[in-house]
Amino acid sequence: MKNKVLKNDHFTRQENLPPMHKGPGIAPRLFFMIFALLTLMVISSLVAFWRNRTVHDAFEKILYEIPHERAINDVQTAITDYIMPANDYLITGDPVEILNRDILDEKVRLAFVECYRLARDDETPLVKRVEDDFIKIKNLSDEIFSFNVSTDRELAGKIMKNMDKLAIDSRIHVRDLLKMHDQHMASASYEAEQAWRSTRRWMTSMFFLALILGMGLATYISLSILRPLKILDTTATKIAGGDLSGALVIERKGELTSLAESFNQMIISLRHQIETSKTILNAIADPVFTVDNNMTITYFSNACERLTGFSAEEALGQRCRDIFKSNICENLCAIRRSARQDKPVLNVEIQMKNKESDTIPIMASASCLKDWKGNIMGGCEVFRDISDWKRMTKELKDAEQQLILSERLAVLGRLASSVGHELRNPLAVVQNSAYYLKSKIGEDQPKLIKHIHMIENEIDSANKIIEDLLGFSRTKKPELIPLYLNSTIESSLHRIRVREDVKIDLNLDPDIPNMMGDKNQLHQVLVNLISNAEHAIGKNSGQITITTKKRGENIELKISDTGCGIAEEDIGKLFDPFFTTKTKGIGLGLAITKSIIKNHKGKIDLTSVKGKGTDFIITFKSQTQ
Amino acid sequence: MLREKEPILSLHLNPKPNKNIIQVQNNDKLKILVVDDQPGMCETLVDIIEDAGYFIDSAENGIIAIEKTKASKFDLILMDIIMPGKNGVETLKEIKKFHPQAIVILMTAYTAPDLIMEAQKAGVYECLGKPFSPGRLLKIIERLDKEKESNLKKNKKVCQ
Repeated sequence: MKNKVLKNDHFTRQENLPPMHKGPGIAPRLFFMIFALLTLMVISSLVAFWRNRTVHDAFEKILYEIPHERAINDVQTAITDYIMPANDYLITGDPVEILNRDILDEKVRLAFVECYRLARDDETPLVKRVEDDFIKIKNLSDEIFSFNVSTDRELAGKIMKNMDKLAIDSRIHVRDLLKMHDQHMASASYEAEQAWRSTRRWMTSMFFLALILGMGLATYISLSILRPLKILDTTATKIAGGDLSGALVIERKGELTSLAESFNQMIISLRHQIETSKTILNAIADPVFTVDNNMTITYFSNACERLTGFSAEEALGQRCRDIFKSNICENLCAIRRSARQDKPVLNVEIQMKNKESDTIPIMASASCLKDWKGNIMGGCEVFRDISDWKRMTKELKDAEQQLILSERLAVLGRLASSVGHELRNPLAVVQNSAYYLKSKIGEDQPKLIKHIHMIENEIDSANKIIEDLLGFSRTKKPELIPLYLNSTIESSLHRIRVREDVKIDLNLDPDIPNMMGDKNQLHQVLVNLISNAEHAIGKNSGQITITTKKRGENIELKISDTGCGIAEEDIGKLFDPFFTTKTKGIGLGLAITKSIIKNHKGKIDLTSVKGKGTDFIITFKSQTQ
Repeated sequence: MLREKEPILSLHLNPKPNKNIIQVQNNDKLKILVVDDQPGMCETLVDIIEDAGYFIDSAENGIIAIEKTKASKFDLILMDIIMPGKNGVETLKEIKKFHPQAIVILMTAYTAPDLIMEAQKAGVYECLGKPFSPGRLLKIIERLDKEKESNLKKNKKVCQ
């Protein structure tokens, strides 16, 4: 196999298909084959022709010898015909036979003419000798008939003896002639047989030669025609199977070149299309994957790899559920089951797990993949990591709520401020009046004094409420100085009075680092929380525990009580301004506390068990942070 | 709660007929002016302070207060800060111009830090947040009265 690099605008690929053509093309091959076969036929014909002549000559010789033999026999018969009547005449003295003499002569003459004509060069002297013998016999025969048998018997007998002698000679000569003729005949037969055999051998060889040559050529040519077709077939099968890695290598122009070129062009444009689609799919910032009908992943985009942590190699061929570890595939299942398969499932929120098993919230849309007939061949799902979006939405919501809350608080603050101030004026008047009355009432009027005291006490609580309101409306920025929280707590506690049956336990960690804080505001926090705790304990005896602890870089302050606890439905509203469960108080203590802690960049949490008590946990940052 | 040791009198309140007598009797005592746009405030303070044996008058706004102060020099002026027309601090400044010896105590329901700062610059004696205890106010008055008395004695000694 040859490797050849095929280049075009977009791709550089290693080609690993065998070359399309090797050696001459089909047309020259066919021409060569036909030419070879024709040549073979011509050669065969020539050989046949040549051999035919030889055979023909051989048989002609044989045919030539056959009338010769007959002529010789005729001559011999003629000689006998001449001797026999003479002999008879001598015996019987009756010259009857002489009447046919002319016919006999003519017969003999023709026989000799034939004999001469057919005689070979070496036979001619023999024929001549036979003719001489015949002439002598004829002359003697004529002599005999000229005699009168009764008179010249003796002479006739003498002549007869000569004639017999001549007859014997002629027979010998004829026999020689025949012998010679047989020799010729034999040699001709032999020649003919030889020629025939040789011809047959030639023809057989030629036949087999032509057969083998023809078969060889046919095989070669058909193979050479089929080979490129076979390669085309292999390539087409590969392409059908989705392998577009190779291209046909065209070594030389041939009949299939343009087909092969079109084929290569097709491969390139297919590759281009596929690459383009893949490039587009991979360029999509949102993850995309496809599955077949068995929910096996068939495509896994780059964005998918980034989000899930699985590489495409790992994911391809895996079950959808194994990779995503979530019900992302339910989308696809749902769409397949649904009657309206043309309608995609849009924007479904799902929790997905990545390779490290981190949960990622995603927004997924699924649609069906259909082949050209409209049969479902799988599904395609696009999804989006919405964790950022969700976080942002939450932040936005929180900020919005915060804004609403702070705006509400600002309005409340302004309202509280003006109401508070305006209330102080009449309160001052009431207090003055009460004072004046008190100064005028004698000790003999204890009930009046009691009522005056009640008025004064209520003025005090009203003033306290106004203080709270005003304090909330002007939560000042804390004046932060470095302080040691334990000392602040201890000094604060000197100023805080609780009921006698409420015990305050201190559990302070001396290792806590310094923090930045405002002593007065922290005191306010402690006052609020301890007063709440005291209130939660109610009329029973109870315990308040104040704990400080170093927690990493942070300082944790915990205020626990053994009071009644907080109802679960109230926990959420606890820090809202004007939320209160007390019969006395306007519900600003915890709101102020929270606002102070927020200004200290701290955090306040609580855990509460109904009937057992409440823990407020405040976390402050250390000075260094 | 502050509790003062005050003379407990019988409820036979009849301050007005006694007014002149007290005024005459206590000529050397502290002369006090209450300035407040709220009539109740003025009336109650007048009653309390008058019964304690001081000369007291009231004005319902700054302009009247200035006029009254010009007419008879008051030793102590109790003045609300927030009033229609001239506010307490402005009135204080004006009074200080022609009667620098006047002691001014400002009373306020509002905690307006900038106004208080201004008042301190102008020479306010004290700021009292409403509602305040009248007993505390009386203590302050008593102290100022003693100061005045001793000052007068010194002056007399100087004259003699």
